[in-house]
Amino acid sequence: MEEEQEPQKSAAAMTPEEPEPCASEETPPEITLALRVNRVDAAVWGKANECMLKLAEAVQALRIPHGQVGSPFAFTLDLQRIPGLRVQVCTAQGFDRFGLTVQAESGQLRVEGVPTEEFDGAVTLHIHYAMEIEARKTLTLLPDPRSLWKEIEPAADEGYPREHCAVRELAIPEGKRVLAASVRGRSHAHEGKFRDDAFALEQDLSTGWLYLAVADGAGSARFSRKGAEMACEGTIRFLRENMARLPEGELEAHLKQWRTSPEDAEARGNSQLDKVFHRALYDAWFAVNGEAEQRGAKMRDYYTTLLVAAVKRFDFGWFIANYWVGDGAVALLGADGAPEVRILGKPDGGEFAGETRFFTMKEEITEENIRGRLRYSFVSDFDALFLMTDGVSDPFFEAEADLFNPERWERLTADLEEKTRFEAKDLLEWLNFWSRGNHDDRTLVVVR
Amino acid sequence: MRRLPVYILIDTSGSMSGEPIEAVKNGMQAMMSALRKDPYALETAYLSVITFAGDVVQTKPLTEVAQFQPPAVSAGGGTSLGGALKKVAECAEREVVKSTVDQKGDWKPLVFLMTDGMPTDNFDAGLAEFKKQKWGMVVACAAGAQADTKTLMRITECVVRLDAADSNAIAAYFKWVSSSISTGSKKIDEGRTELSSLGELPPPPPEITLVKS
Repeated sequence: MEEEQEPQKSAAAMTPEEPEPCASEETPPEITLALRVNRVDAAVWGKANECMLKLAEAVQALRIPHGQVGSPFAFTLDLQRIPGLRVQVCTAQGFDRFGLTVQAESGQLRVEGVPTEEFDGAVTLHIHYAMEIEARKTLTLLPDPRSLWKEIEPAADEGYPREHCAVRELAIPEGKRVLAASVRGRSHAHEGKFRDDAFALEQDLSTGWLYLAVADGAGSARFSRKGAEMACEGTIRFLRENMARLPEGELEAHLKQWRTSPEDAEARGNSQLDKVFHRALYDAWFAVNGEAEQRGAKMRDYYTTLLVAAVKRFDFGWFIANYWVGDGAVALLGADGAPEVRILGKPDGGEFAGETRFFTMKEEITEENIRGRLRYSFVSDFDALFLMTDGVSDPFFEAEADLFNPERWERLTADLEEKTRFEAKDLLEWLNFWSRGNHDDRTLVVVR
Repeated sequence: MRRLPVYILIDTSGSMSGEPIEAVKNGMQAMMSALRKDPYALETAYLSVITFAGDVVQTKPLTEVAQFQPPAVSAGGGTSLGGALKKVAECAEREVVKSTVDQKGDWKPLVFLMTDGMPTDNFDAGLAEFKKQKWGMVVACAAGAQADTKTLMRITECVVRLDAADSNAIAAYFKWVSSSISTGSKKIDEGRTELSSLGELPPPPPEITLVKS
């Protein structure tokens, strides 16, 4: 519709056709927005007061949402319900400083952009129509939440100092690779605490066994980082030494028999693996216990989860023996070419099974409990074997049921593929992924 | 994302008018600017405000910290404490996501209730509705000498008292509520567990005394 001049009005209510320079240019720190409203429809002729009231209402109802630095932000002043008016931005001052633009079109005023700077102050709004409307609104641009996480070094006299991250890569002869990385979580960095997660890898080329472990020291236990480290390293060292002592031909013969009847308790017993694992865990447990005594601390000061796997390729295929206590996950993807995921143990996060269990609890080191937590898998081949602490599993698998959902695993592997191509050098950065409310230490070991 | 819902219940009866209600507004402003700087609360806590006088109004539905703008509050007649308890139970029923096998719901809501007088409505009926919901920590604050701690003890074992409902004490209360929300958010982030006892809250400032049963 063509813009038309309203025939007659008092001088005070006259709206000049030419945009006029608006006042208040002499207050630079303030953000001001001056709008000029024109009648474009004959229908509103003579209804200046009515329009004025509606405009005032719209302005009063305007509540500007809070913006955040770095996140898309917008607010609108809707003038659609006052048909026949056209809004023009007369002056928009101070918005560009915050990365915001102001537009007025089709009866709507729109301020948008990605805020570049924090602000908490007033926006003065002038609307020039039949008369001036002036309103002050609060504009709050909050800091980027990510910038609020601080990186604080632990105190120099904190015991058991360790690196804030660790990464390793191993090529194994069977054409697969092992990647491992661990990072200190944002919450630990924010509090000036050390990383409580740990991992360990060992490859024994003489026997062909590969040993993997991850552990998550309990946040409430003051020396849990040492517990996690000792649990991983102790178990793996013992396994490496003692698996090498098992007569190789005999073990393979037992496994071959066991493979054909997985429920065969006798074959399981003959393999000696329950015993070796029990002794390895027992050995690591006592090492932690000794450390606690020496330090005059309690075993509960060293509480940690533990996820261990021993992997070897035999003539008949791959064999994986693993133990898992506490939260986190051990998963086998694409076993025997099947699309489903095999979770190698019982997830026992605190949410579902009462309290989280820890390796360092006395009752966990009994032969019966260890036996119950051991899993043995025979597979012709597999796509990936994952061991992870809850810092990784929680953001990707919110509920326990999600762990058994292949699509969730697909999402994880696709993300890793896209962002790291499963290269160790990119894995550390990947582990810093942003997930609201999830800022624990993160540790991931993958064989693929 | 599992949220930590926080319900803030404020008595806006006539006796709160003037200095106390102004202190409540300022207290909420100060609380929000503190929480907005706390990355734990910013990501985890969701706040709602329910005011009660003769009427009970949820003046703010459950809103994340970043988007929370303190509501306008004004004082009126009556102290519908029972109605407030009923209302918060209804709001929690509607707003708080329950856990199922396939989904982890929200954390149990925290409740911070402040009143300066005796209930003038059917308190027992409201209390019965309130008790049907699952709550995390429930803290009831008796503001000033007129508030009835015995009634509050029936709502929760965590009852605190402000000696006077003046601006200092109310400011201290909101500061304490704010740091309690921070503590609760941090506990969830770090330990995946909830606040469960008064002892886990930050120590109350001198203006706030714990009421022993």
